[in-house]
Amino acid sequence: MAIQFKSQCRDARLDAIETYGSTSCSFSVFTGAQPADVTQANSGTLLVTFNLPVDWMAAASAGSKAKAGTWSGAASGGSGATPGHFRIYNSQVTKDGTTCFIQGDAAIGSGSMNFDGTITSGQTVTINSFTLTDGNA
Amino acid sequence: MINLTDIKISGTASVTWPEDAVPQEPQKPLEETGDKDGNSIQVTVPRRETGCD
Repeated sequence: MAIQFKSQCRDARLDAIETYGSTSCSFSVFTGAQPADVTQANSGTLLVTFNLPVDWMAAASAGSKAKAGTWSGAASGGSGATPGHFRIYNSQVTKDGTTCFIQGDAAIGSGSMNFDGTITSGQTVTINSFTLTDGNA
Repeated sequence: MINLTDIKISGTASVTWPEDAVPQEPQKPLEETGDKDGNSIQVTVPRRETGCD
């Protein structure tokens, strides 16, 4: 059995992620499988990248933490490309393995980040929901 | 040994064309005008009288 935490403890753990990321984060989507870990170089074709709001996550509650504000940007790459993974950086200038602190898989109709279609340069990509859920309830 | 479980990420994203960039069907070429010899036809539109009586 996994260890269990009080709800407030789980919230604190999630809020620590936003605190670490700080207030100048950016979000990118690439084709292909995600790198082995967040310290690895970017891989795949960059489809879209945009800055996150200063306050990019709402306060955690009941072990769950959702995005805050608008997460959206214009695609700069791809022609009917399938998103494969996303990365979040704690920088809006340097976006590589030195600043990436969250990454996850993406796909169309499935995946941690579930897209509703392919991406073509010029299209608007909007993250409608993004939620971190702590286990150990 | 007791293990921590993963923090899970779940998200949804939509992809749309901006309103001013929706691909349009190619416009039909302007119909050629002219007489049977290909000379253009000048059409005079009567000027509308404006002003005070």
